[in-house]
Amino acid sequence: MLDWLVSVMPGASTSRFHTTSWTLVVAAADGQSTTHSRLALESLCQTYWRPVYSFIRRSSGDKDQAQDLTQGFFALMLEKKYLQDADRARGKFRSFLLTAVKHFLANEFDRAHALKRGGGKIPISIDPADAEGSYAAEAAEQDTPESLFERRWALSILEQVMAKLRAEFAGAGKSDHFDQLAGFLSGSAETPYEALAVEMGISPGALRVAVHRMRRRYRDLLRAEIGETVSKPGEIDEEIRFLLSTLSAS
Amino acid sequence: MSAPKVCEQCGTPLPAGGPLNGQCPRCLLNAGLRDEATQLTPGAQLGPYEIVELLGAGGMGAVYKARDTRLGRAVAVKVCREQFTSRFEREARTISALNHSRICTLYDVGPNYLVMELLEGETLAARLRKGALSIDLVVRYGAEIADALAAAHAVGVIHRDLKPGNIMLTKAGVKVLDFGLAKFIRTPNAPPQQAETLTQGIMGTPAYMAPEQLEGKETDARVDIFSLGLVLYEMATGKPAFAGDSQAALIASVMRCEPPLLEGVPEKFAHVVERCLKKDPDSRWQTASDIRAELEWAGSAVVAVAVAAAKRNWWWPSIAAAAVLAALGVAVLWLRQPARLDLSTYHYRPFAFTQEQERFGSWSPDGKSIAYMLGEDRLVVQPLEGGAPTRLTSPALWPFVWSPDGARIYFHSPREGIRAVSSAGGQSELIFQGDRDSREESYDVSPDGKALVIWRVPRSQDGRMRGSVWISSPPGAAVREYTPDPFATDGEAGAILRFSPNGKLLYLSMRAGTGVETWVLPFPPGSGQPRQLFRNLLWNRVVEASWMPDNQRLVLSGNLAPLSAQSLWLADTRSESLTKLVDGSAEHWWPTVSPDGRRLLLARVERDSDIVELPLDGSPPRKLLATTQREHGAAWSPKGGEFAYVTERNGPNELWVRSVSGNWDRPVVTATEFPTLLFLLSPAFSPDGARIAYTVALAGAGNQGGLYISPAAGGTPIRISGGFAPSWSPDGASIAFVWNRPGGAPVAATLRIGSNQTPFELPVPCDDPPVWSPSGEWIACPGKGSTLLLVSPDGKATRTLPRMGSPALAWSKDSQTIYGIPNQNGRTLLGAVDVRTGAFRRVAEYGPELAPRALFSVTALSLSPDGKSLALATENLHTDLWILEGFAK
Repeated sequence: MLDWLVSVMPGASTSRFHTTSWTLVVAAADGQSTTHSRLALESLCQTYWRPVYSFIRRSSGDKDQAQDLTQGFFALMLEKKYLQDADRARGKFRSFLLTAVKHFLANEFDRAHALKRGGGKIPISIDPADAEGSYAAEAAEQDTPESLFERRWALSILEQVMAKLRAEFAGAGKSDHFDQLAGFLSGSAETPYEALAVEMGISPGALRVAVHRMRRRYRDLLRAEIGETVSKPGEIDEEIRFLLSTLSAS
Repeated sequence: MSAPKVCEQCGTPLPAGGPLNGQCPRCLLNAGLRDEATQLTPGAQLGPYEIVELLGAGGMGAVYKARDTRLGRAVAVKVCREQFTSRFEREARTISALNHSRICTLYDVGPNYLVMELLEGETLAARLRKGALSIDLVVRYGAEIADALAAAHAVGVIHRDLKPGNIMLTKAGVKVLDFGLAKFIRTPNAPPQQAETLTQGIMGTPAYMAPEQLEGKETDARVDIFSLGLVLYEMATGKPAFAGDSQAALIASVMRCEPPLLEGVPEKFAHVVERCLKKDPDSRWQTASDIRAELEWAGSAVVAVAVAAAKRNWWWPSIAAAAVLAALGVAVLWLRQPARLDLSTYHYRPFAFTQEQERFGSWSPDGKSIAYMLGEDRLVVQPLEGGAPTRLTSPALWPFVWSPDGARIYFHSPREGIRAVSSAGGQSELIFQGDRDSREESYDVSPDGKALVIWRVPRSQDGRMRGSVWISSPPGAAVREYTPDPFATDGEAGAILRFSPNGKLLYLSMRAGTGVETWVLPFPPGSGQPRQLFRNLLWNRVVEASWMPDNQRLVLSGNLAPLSAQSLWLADTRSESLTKLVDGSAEHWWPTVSPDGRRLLLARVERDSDIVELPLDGSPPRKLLATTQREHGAAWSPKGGEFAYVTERNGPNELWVRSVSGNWDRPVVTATEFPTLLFLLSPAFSPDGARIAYTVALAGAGNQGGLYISPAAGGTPIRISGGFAPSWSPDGASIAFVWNRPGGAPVAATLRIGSNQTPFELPVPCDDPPVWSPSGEWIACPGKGSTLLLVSPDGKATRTLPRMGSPALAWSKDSQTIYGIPNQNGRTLLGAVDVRTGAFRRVAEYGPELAPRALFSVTALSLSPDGKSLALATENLHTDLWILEGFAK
């Protein structure tokens, strides 16, 4: 509780609560529509368990415990204990989840309960090697649990968007195009347009159009994904800037 | 370990391989930002202006703080993506002639930039992100904006893009920006989901534009009147009047829909806003000066209401009163009903009304019994007239569907499929076995009992999930998919399915990629085309529904964006009209129309926070204050007979003092004292009862939130320190609290009031707020690992008592006992620790209404003046089943 107060006291802001992944939270927090809630929640958990794992892992320092606690956290979410507070927290879904996991760790009863159950009712499947591998690769010495959470959050969003984009290409039978063009999204493509056009057997003009379309689609997907986690579309750029700051080079 | 690769473009370390294909996450994110063609770096020159810093970026470009090198004054420079036309420059010079204290002055116009008065403050848009404004601020700001509009309109300048983002709140009041500029500036490349977007010749921001503007018709100054109405609405509610997940939906909403009714505001104010928002310009207020006058008038009404409120809290009937009325069979919805909804024929009566949760009701085919869920998963059936519920089976999850002959009830069995049980009870039978890889949670049975329709989300071989309607006929037979299926969705999604009484139509609502959709499907498949309903409405949740006997209308329970209470509508599936059936703050869920169409069974959900008393003799808790509003933070006055508490009756948190008898109830601290208040909590009376210390959290960086003291009779608050959760010393000269130590972690500390000294840090690791004993000898605090720590006020003596594990503590009057509310196996105990011996005693154990999850998030305990009970705040969600008659004319 003390953590909660501290986190909200200094200049905290509460933005409004609308449609968003928030819509999922609302569905999950309804507490009535049991089955729908579970679907909604499982979708949330699958997308955002990694940031939560990173936070808990950095806070607790013990990887076995971190896995159980992550499971336990989501199990509690499933029981809606935290979700019912969601509309009280308001604002960005990212902030809500971070506050919720802080609450969870600060609450000895919940923590003990989670460890005792070892994530008995498993809302998400954590692959220990996968979780620990990405944690080890991403965690730097100076990272706080929060900074790790935020950076992992940014990466989870990007991964989700890339997966969706890839799935769209795959759905159209163009998986190979995706692999060839993806590098242009961040400007990191090494092959020049002309050479790639020859390789793909299309004209450079057609390639430019394809890249342009892919960029536009990527941008739409990214903004939609982030739009799901903020309270209104006008906050998307602000959120992107924030996520950028979590990935800064220094 | 090799050095990590870094991005050649920005130097960010690259993740190895993985789902991002080795691409730089930072560059990927950057690619999602809007076009930044207007980026300038500090020091850059723009004509005679030298860029100092970026202030913000919007749809039309970026705004910088700059210095006018000729005059040496600071200015704001708005740089646009496109070069201005000569016509624009001419027009802009007219605008720059506007000189009014409420209008931001335009100094200069460059080839692609505007130079304006530099204002300090925040935009109204930024302020509104923190929530609604108090009504007196709304009225004041509204009158100031109207003043600015009146001045501009007088010289023929129309704003055309009035919105919260164009209104600055400065120390001197409101300043309106960007007069008349929308007409000239377009950003064709902005993404469609941006609220700021201007496209296809429409000038302005769709969310704040008048219908005639959206239609591209000739416009005049009355478009600003409409926009002002929207701004007033949003200031009062914190939510935009119109919303939509796409520009098309938003525009459709502005063109066709009425915004949700304004509630909890003075009638006069609501009238001003409603008339601003008339779709027909001729029906609106005709001049901005009219609105200014009306608002000033409404402002005087605000004061009158506040005075009335201070005299007596008369307009919130208590739950007790409502329950009496309900028992008498009288409609209780008059509580907050809007004038335009005629509820005179409505008749409510409670059907299932216990301490437990009752929901998911379903009528038997003869209309004489109702099946519903009692508690978390028990299926019960109860006769309509008299009689107790009979338990049929558990666990049973919704939906509950009666067979046509009333002999059986279908239910969803978790992880198994669909079962049916005799309506007389007994063993249930598995009707439909769900697939391991699918989910069969939504279904209905056709009125002739011959077909089971199911919303299934099977997983295909490539792992994709696809939701659609499947048919099992007869129930239990192999499934086949409903085709054609334009409603099918990718991925998992909840859904609702409802057969019309004649079995020829199937209502479907589900969450699709773009939001929640509602459909009507002809049945059997092939007998017509599935048709989507209400395409332009944005629902927050899947829309529950029940058919009327005419097979044409539906009663819907839905939640329209922006998030509002779950409410009821009567929907016509042919004309696609939607009429609200109820209003008010109660949430209405799971409507089911009786077979004769005359009655509506529904669940009313109340989210209730109350203040309760825990008697120290171990007897059951008593309600001290129970209203329909949220209230918390109870603190007894040492005088007895009155207590302070925090209420949300007017929206923002306010501190009120109330007599136990309920004879009077008066505000002490309101939004007037703290216009940027986020929340107020933990009030504590001084030992002489003359002052109240409390915690406030304020919005904005560098705010002055923290501990404040106000006279109990009302008056100017005085800030004591940063920190929270005050507890008075017995002499009333000092306060123990949690100090937000600058640059460090929060600590328990004491402070002599008015001493201007640095707080004295207590040498114990407190986990929750400290509490001063009445004897003054000790300060108790819940320590790490659930210990109970005692420390002398000088910090020299400390003691550790056995674990209490309570988030809040209270001392007995004689300072010999410390009470707490530990959580044991999900139940809340009232515990007592003997200070001399350290012995722990269990005083009482409470039921679910006081379960740990029902305790208010920031729990505090306050000992009553007679020393016999503790006050604390609780928050519960409660669902009951009601029957509404006379709703459909």
